[in-house]
Amino acid sequence: MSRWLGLLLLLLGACAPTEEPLAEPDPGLAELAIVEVAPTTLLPASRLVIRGRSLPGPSDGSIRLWLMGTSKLPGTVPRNLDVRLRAEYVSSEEAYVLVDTEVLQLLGGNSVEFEGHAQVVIDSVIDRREHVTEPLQVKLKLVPSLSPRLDLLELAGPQRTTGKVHPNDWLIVRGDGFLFGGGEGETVALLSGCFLPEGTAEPCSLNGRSVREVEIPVAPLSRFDRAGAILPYAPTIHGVLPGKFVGTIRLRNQPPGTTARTVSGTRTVAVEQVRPELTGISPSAASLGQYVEMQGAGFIGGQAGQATLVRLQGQFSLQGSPVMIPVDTEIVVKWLPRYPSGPVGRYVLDETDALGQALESRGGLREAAGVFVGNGTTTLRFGRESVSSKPTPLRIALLRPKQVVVVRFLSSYKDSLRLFGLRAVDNAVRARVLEVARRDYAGINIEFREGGEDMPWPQDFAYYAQVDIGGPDPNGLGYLGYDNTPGRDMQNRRLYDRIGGVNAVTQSDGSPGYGGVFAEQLLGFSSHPGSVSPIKSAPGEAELFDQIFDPLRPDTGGTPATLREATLLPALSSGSLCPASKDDRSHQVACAIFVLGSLIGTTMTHELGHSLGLANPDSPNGSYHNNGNLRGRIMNPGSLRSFSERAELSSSGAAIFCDSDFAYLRRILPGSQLPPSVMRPPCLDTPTM
Amino acid sequence: MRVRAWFLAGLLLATGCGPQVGSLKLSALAPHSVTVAQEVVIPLLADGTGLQPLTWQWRSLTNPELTTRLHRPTLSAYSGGRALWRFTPLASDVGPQSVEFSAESGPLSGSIALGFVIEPGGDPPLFREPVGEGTTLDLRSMPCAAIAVVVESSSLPQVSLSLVSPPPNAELVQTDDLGGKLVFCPSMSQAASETIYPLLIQAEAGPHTVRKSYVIVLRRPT
Repeated sequence: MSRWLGLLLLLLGACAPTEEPLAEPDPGLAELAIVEVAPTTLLPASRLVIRGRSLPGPSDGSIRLWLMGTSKLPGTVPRNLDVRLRAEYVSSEEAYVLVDTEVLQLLGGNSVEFEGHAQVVIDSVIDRREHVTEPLQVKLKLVPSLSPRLDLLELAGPQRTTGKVHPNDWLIVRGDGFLFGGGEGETVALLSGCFLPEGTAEPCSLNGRSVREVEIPVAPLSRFDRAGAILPYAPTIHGVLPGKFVGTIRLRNQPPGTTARTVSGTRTVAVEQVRPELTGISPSAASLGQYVEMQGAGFIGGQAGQATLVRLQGQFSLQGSPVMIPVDTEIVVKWLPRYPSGPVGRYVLDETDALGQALESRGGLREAAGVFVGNGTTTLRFGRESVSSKPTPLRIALLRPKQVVVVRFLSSYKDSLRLFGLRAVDNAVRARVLEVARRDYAGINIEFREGGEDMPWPQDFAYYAQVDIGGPDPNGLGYLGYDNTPGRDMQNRRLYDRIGGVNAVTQSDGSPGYGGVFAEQLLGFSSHPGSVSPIKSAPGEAELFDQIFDPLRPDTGGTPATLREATLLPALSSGSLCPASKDDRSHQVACAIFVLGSLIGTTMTHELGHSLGLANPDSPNGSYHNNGNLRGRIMNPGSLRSFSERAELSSSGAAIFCDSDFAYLRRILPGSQLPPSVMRPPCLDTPTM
Repeated sequence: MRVRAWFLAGLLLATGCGPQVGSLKLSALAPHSVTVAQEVVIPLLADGTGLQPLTWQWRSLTNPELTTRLHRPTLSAYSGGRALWRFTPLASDVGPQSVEFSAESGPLSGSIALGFVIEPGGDPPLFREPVGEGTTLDLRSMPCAAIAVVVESSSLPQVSLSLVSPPPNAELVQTDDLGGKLVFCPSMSQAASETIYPLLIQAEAGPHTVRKSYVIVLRRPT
């Protein structure tokens, strides 16, 4: 019997389509995992958040949440549930399922409890396979609505046991049934009572200020916490003046699209509002475009009629000069509702504001490095009310400009890595790119930071430059890289250049509009570049390129590198061992990482040099590249930059900035560290006209 | 039992593995949005394929050069009547595009055309100056605040700058395509009645409108 059944299955198999995956299993999903599914209590229109690792973007695959277990309506027998819910991509670490009508139906209604396993299922566009994570044990509860319950009100942070609050200090409410906002609606606090300003005689009912149902939105204490929430003790309750408030608080849930609202029980509130405090600033040294945070308490703003000012009174001593400049100015500070380390007041060093203008005659915030020593006083303005802190001694160092550069690795770059057989070792390639960048700009006040489409932007600087590392050249010109920032930014006036995306201003004079480093075009150095434009190179260079990459390139019969292979050897710091011998797989992988990282890195440092004003920085009409035909200079034209030089496989070593280019960089962005002691080739700059 | 097994196997071979008559029905998922430099992947499916090998072809109805350029779109065929068309548009591809996909399996054939618009991909304008949230104005030392306004625009080379519902005596004078000067000279009566002036600076570039809040606070005599 089993023999015949086997024959039948064989025949059936003969007719089944043979699966032909596109490639090896997508290495981008090698670390796919599910970490958490939350919140556990869901309402209609809630977002069920899936936290995981290596979740693919929409162009690389679709994400579904697979729930398998039992679901149970109240008072009924559990039934088996096996559903796959479509999830929306947020980042490589997060996706969500919107609990809409369809999802509620699939789960069995809006009053069920689910218990079982959750897995993430990826339908990969890359390898046409289904990838499933390990299961995660979960319990979910669906409810049609939530009513707020208020158990306790307490002050947060240092004020916890004092009974005293500053304007906008955090209050904590504990209870249950709080809403998270968005589709499920929000929870608000309602405060009522009487405020008696400091120095005003009792009774409050006669001499004080009545407070009636002032509405303050609350936010969850932590992201998925329905039992704890915070709210600011906002100026809208009774203003910013010191005094005592006695009254009540209750919570109200407000689902969207309905007038049905549920309200909690009432708790009493008795607090004393005190003056703002300024205790210091952080960091104590900063430069143009950098954020400075005020330490202390009592910061307001963000709404009409509210402002926080900090008055600076003292002396500013210019660096390297005996001159002392008297200072008496006020700066505007932004209120940031940060929890638990806040709220804070944030200021950004700005050339156009009162402080920036006060230093204008000394070269402004770009030239006037020095130290302010004096006092700082916070003043809150709320309509006609004004209240100030006690003066606090402050010492603030003003630094010369710093250029922060975010190197953004785009998904098109990751796609291009597949062509080199290096998709799985993306992180190792990035590390080499950044190593090259930091080395080339050593001694210059530039900080390189890794970025990506999913990664947050800097929070400590408002001004930063951006370089996109992408795949093919969107201009269709076969460039390896292109600085699409407009014009020549002499003296680096723009600390916020973006080398990437499209720039309409650059495009408007007929120049190519799309910028960045185009990693895929580097395949043009190969003798078999496939669909990439070939790059002319000296004899032997294409063969050298192919010796490095052919063992890994899928289109040449090579085997792409695996994550594990990248860990077998420490990263190479030079190309002296490259290319590796045919039987040394570990070194083949290490060399390919080193070479591609060097190629991208040296292209990036060249393009960044353009955006900083190079080459010929003192000559508005000079060439954008170094003059003459000396090799080994970063700002040389492409025709003078061979593959082996870019890849750092040549015996002459890595290219460097030539003498006057480097001197210019030191002048506009002087680093605190001494520059490396190297012999720099001459730039042969165009004479200034 | 032996007879039944052979019978089932024979029936399966005789009928083939799919329909033998009629045309191929092609389906494809048109992309929501297509932007320069961002790869678009269009999954294709041919229903009704038989034992004969399936071959796919595509052509652009709007841009014949698309099939011959060096970095051209690729169409990869897979089993089960599936295929993937991948295309990374260039700057020169901006505008409406129409692509026809066709498939053949022996005597059967079918085609489908998809239209989509390739966008240049510019972002809304960004305010670069002022970078801060506001400034103070000391009327004892100067009668006006004058703030340089600079925006960056990736989608259009010119933007239109303005103030939204400005208070009296506040204006934004545009000085070039991407910059201007915000000037506020409060009158004596204004200064006496209010010291906090929240302003809303607006930049418009084609379909994009962005705003930046900026507050000018009058210093009070101490």
